[in-house]
Amino acid sequence: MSTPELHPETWVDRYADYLFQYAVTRVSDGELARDLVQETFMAGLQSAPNFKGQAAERTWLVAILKRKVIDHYRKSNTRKGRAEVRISYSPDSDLEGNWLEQTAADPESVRENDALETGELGLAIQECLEKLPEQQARVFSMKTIRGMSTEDICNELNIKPSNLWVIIHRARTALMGCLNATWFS
Amino acid sequence: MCQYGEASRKQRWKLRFHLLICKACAGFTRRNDRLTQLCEHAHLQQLSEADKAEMKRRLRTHGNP
Repeated sequence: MSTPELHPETWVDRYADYLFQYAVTRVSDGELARDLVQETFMAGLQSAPNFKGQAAERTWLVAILKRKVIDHYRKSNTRKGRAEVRISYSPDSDLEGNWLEQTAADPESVRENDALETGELGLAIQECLEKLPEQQARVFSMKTIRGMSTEDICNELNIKPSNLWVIIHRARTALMGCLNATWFS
Repeated sequence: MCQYGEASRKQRWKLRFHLLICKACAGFTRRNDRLTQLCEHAHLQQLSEADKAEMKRRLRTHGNP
Protein backbone atom coordinates (compact mmCIF):
# COMPACT_ATOMS: atom_id res chain seq x y z
CA MET A 1 0.00 0.00 0.00
CA SER A 2 1.41 3.41 -0.95
CA THR A 3 2.05 6.07 1.69
CA PRO A 4 -0.53 8.85 1.62
CA GLU A 5 0.99 12.01 0.27
CA LEU A 6 -0.01 15.64 0.34
CA HIS A 7 1.13 18.21 -2.18
CA PRO A 8 0.89 21.62 -0.48
CA GLU A 9 2.72 23.26 -3.38
CA THR A 10 -0.31 22.57 -5.61
CA TRP A 11 -3.06 23.40 -3.08
CA VAL A 12 -3.59 27.00 -4.16
CA ASP A 13 -3.84 26.22 -7.88
CA ARG A 14 -5.99 23.14 -7.40
CA TYR A 15 -8.25 23.90 -4.45
CA ALA A 16 -8.22 27.62 -3.54
CA ASP A 17 -11.17 28.59 -5.75
CA TYR A 18 -13.28 25.61 -4.66
CA LEU A 19 -12.56 26.29 -0.99
CA PHE A 20 -13.22 30.01 -1.48
CA GLN A 21 -16.61 29.28 -3.09
CA TYR A 22 -17.39 26.90 -0.23
CA ALA A 23 -16.46 29.51 2.39
CA VAL A 24 -18.10 32.51 0.74
CA THR A 25 -21.48 30.75 0.50
CA ARG A 26 -21.31 30.07 4.23
CA VAL A 27 -20.01 33.35 5.61
CA SER A 28 -21.26 35.75 2.87
CA ASP A 29 -18.13 37.88 3.17
CA GLY A 30 -15.38 37.70 0.56
CA GLU A 31 -12.56 38.98 2.76
CA LEU A 32 -13.47 36.69 5.64
CA ALA A 33 -13.80 33.74 3.24
CA ARG A 34 -10.33 34.48 1.83
CA ASP A 35 -8.86 34.57 5.36
CA LEU A 36 -10.57 31.28 6.24
CA VAL A 37 -9.10 29.63 3.13
CA GLN A 38 -5.66 30.96 4.05
CA GLU A 39 -6.05 29.63 7.61
CA THR A 40 -7.20 26.29 6.21
CA PHE A 41 -4.02 25.92 4.18
CA MET A 42 -1.90 26.83 7.19
CA ALA A 43 -3.77 24.37 9.42
CA GLY A 44 -3.45 21.73 6.70
CA LEU A 45 0.29 22.27 6.61
CA GLN A 46 0.53 21.89 10.38
CA SER A 47 -1.63 18.76 10.45
CA ALA A 48 0.00 17.19 7.41
CA PRO A 49 1.80 14.52 9.50
CA ASN A 50 -1.63 13.32 10.72
CA PHE A 51 -2.99 12.86 7.18
CA LYS A 52 -3.73 9.15 6.80
CA GLY A 53 -4.88 9.24 3.20
CA GLN A 54 -8.35 7.89 4.05
CA ALA A 55 -9.92 10.85 2.24
CA ALA A 56 -8.91 12.70 -0.88
CA GLU A 57 -6.70 15.74 -0.37
CA ARG A 58 -9.53 18.17 -1.18
CA THR A 59 -12.05 16.40 1.07
CA TRP A 60 -9.52 16.63 3.90
CA LEU A 61 -9.01 20.37 3.30
CA VAL A 62 -12.79 20.93 3.14
CA ALA A 63 -13.14 19.19 6.52
CA ILE A 64 -10.58 21.61 7.98
CA LEU A 65 -12.36 24.59 6.39
CA LYS A 66 -15.68 23.37 7.79
CA ARG A 67 -14.21 23.50 11.29
CA LYS A 68 -12.83 27.00 10.60
CA VAL A 69 -16.31 28.19 9.56
CA ILE A 70 -17.87 26.67 12.70
CA ASP A 71 -15.16 28.28 14.86
CA HIS A 72 -15.88 31.62 13.21
CA TYR A 73 -19.59 31.41 14.06
CA ARG A 74 -18.84 30.23 17.60
CA LYS A 75 -16.60 33.25 18.16
CA SER A 76 -19.07 35.72 16.68
CA ASN A 77 -21.91 34.17 18.70
CA THR A 78 -20.08 34.67 21.95
CA ARG A 79 -19.72 38.37 21.11
CA LYS A 80 -23.05 39.15 19.43
CA GLY A 81 -25.30 36.36 20.71
CA ARG A 82 -25.56 37.67 24.26
CA ALA A 83 -26.59 41.14 23.11
CA GLU A 84 -29.27 39.70 20.82
CA VAL A 85 -30.70 37.53 23.57
CA ARG A 86 -30.83 40.52 25.92
CA ILE A 87 -32.79 42.47 23.30
CA SER A 88 -35.22 39.62 22.66
CA TYR A 89 -35.99 39.12 26.35
CA SER A 90 -36.29 42.78 27.23
CA PRO A 91 -38.80 43.10 30.11
CA ASP A 92 -40.57 45.94 28.26
CA SER A 93 -41.05 43.96 25.06
CA ASP A 94 -44.59 43.03 24.03
CA LEU A 95 -43.19 40.07 22.16
CA GLU A 96 -41.84 38.40 25.28
CA GLY A 97 -42.69 34.74 25.29
CA ASN A 98 -43.07 34.58 21.52
CA TRP A 99 -39.34 34.48 20.91
CA LEU A 100 -39.32 30.90 19.65
CA GLU A 101 -42.26 31.36 17.31
CA GLN A 102 -40.82 34.61 16.02
CA THR A 103 -37.50 33.06 15.12
CA ALA A 104 -38.63 29.62 13.91
CA ALA A 105 -38.27 28.88 10.20
CA ASP A 106 -41.33 29.39 8.04
CA PRO A 107 -42.29 25.92 6.71
CA GLU A 108 -43.85 27.51 3.61
CA SER A 109 -40.68 29.38 2.68
CA VAL A 110 -38.48 27.94 -0.08
CA ARG A 111 -35.81 30.63 0.16
CA GLU A 112 -33.60 28.54 2.48
CA ASN A 113 -33.52 25.77 -0.11
CA ASP A 114 -32.69 28.31 -2.80
CA ALA A 115 -29.60 29.44 -0.93
CA LEU A 116 -28.55 25.86 -0.31
CA GLU A 117 -29.05 24.94 -3.95
CA THR A 118 -27.14 28.01 -5.12
CA GLY A 119 -24.23 27.10 -2.85
CA GLU A 120 -24.16 23.51 -4.07
CA LEU A 121 -24.45 24.59 -7.69
CA GLY A 122 -21.47 26.91 -7.26
CA LEU A 123 -19.41 24.06 -5.85
CA ALA A 124 -20.53 21.71 -8.65
CA ILE A 125 -19.38 24.24 -11.26
CA GLN A 126 -16.06 24.81 -9.47
CA GLU A 127 -15.60 21.04 -9.30
CA CYS A 128 -16.18 20.75 -13.05
CA LEU A 129 -13.81 23.65 -13.67
CA GLU A 130 -11.08 21.73 -11.81
CA LYS A 131 -11.42 18.90 -14.31
CA LEU A 132 -10.82 21.12 -17.35
CA PRO A 133 -7.38 21.51 -18.90
CA GLU A 134 -5.57 24.33 -17.12
CA GLN A 135 -5.76 26.89 -19.92
CA GLN A 136 -9.46 26.27 -20.61
CA ALA A 137 -10.30 26.68 -16.92
CA ARG A 138 -8.21 29.83 -16.71
CA VAL A 139 -9.71 31.50 -19.78
CA PHE A 140 -13.26 30.56 -18.78
CA SER A 141 -12.72 31.93 -15.26
CA MET A 142 -11.20 35.17 -16.51
CA LYS A 143 -14.01 35.73 -18.99
CA THR A 144 -17.08 34.40 -17.21
CA ILE A 145 -16.38 34.72 -13.50
CA ARG A 146 -14.13 37.76 -13.37
CA GLY A 147 -15.73 39.42 -16.41
CA MET A 148 -12.44 40.50 -17.98
CA SER A 149 -12.44 41.98 -21.47
CA THR A 150 -11.31 39.87 -24.42
CA GLU A 151 -8.46 42.29 -25.08
CA ASP A 152 -7.12 42.08 -21.51
CA ILE A 153 -7.22 38.28 -21.50
CA CYS A 154 -5.48 38.09 -24.89
CA ASN A 155 -2.78 40.47 -23.69
CA GLU A 156 -2.26 38.62 -20.43
CA LEU A 157 -2.14 35.15 -21.97
CA ASN A 158 -0.56 36.24 -25.24
CA ILE A 159 -3.21 34.62 -27.44
CA LYS A 160 -5.33 35.86 -30.36
CA PRO A 161 -9.07 36.61 -29.95
CA SER A 162 -9.97 33.79 -32.36
CA ASN A 163 -7.93 31.42 -30.20
CA LEU A 164 -9.67 32.70 -27.07
CA TRP A 165 -13.14 31.97 -28.49
CA VAL A 166 -12.10 28.46 -29.47
CA ILE A 167 -10.83 27.85 -25.93
CA ILE A 168 -14.06 29.28 -24.44
CA HIS A 169 -16.14 27.09 -26.74
CA ARG A 170 -14.24 23.97 -25.69
CA ALA A 171 -14.43 24.91 -22.02
CA ARG A 172 -18.18 25.52 -22.18
CA THR A 173 -18.79 22.25 -24.05
CA ALA A 174 -16.78 20.32 -21.45
CA LEU A 175 -18.53 22.11 -18.58
CA MET A 176 -21.97 21.31 -20.00
CA GLY A 177 -20.99 17.65 -20.27
CA CYS A 178 -19.62 17.60 -16.74
CA LEU A 179 -22.67 19.34 -15.24
CA ASN A 180 -24.98 16.98 -17.11
CA ALA A 181 -23.17 14.08 -15.51
CA THR A 182 -22.95 15.53 -12.00
CA TRP A 183 -25.57 18.23 -11.39
CA PHE A 184 -28.49 17.07 -13.53
CA SER A 185 -28.13 13.34 -13.00
CA MET B 1 -19.29 35.60 -28.22
CA CYS B 2 -23.02 36.39 -28.09
CA GLN B 3 -23.38 35.31 -24.45
CA TYR B 4 -20.73 37.86 -23.47
CA GLY B 5 -22.40 40.63 -25.46
CA GLU B 6 -19.40 41.04 -27.76
CA ALA B 7 -20.93 40.00 -31.08
CA SER B 8 -21.71 42.72 -33.60
CA ARG B 9 -25.26 43.21 -34.92
CA LYS B 10 -24.27 41.54 -38.19
CA GLN B 11 -22.78 38.55 -36.36
CA ARG B 12 -25.91 38.18 -34.23
CA TRP B 13 -28.16 38.19 -37.33
CA LYS B 14 -25.95 35.64 -39.07
CA LEU B 15 -26.11 33.43 -36.00
CA ARG B 16 -29.92 33.72 -35.73
CA PHE B 17 -30.31 32.76 -39.37
CA HIS B 18 -27.91 29.84 -38.96
CA LEU B 19 -29.79 28.61 -35.88
CA LEU B 20 -33.00 28.49 -37.94
CA ILE B 21 -31.52 25.97 -40.32
CA CYS B 22 -29.04 24.06 -38.13
CA LYS B 23 -30.52 21.79 -35.45
CA ALA B 24 -27.14 20.85 -34.00
CA CYS B 25 -26.14 24.45 -33.36
CA ALA B 26 -29.63 25.30 -32.06
CA GLY B 27 -29.31 22.44 -29.55
CA PHE B 28 -25.85 23.60 -28.56
CA THR B 29 -27.12 27.17 -28.10
CA ARG B 30 -29.92 25.99 -25.81
CA ARG B 31 -27.44 24.11 -23.62
CA ASN B 32 -25.01 27.01 -23.74
CA ASP B 33 -27.71 29.45 -22.62
CA ARG B 34 -28.56 27.09 -19.78
CA LEU B 35 -24.91 27.08 -18.69
CA THR B 36 -24.87 30.89 -18.73
CA GLN B 37 -28.00 30.94 -16.54
CA LEU B 38 -26.50 28.42 -14.13
CA CYS B 39 -23.26 30.41 -13.82
CA GLU B 40 -25.24 33.57 -13.08
CA HIS B 41 -27.47 31.77 -10.57
CA ALA B 42 -24.49 30.21 -8.77
CA HIS B 43 -22.85 33.58 -8.00
CA LEU B 44 -19.44 32.13 -8.83
CA GLN B 45 -16.56 33.77 -7.05
CA GLN B 46 -12.86 33.26 -7.26
CA LEU B 47 -9.79 34.59 -5.53
CA SER B 48 -7.74 37.21 -7.34
CA GLU B 49 -4.33 36.29 -8.73
CA ALA B 50 -2.76 38.55 -6.10
CA ASP B 51 -4.52 36.71 -3.26
CA LYS B 52 -3.41 33.38 -4.69
CA ALA B 53 0.18 34.58 -5.03
CA GLU B 54 0.13 35.68 -1.38
CA MET B 55 -1.26 32.31 -0.29
CA LYS B 56 1.45 30.49 -2.24
CA ARG B 57 4.12 32.70 -0.68
CA ARG B 58 2.85 31.95 2.84
CA LEU B 59 2.64 28.24 2.14
CA ARG B 60 6.22 28.25 0.85
CA THR B 61 7.44 30.23 3.85
CA HIS B 62 5.73 27.96 6.39
CA GLY B 63 6.46 24.80 4.45
CA ASN B 64 10.22 25.47 4.36
CA PRO B 65 11.11 27.07 7.70
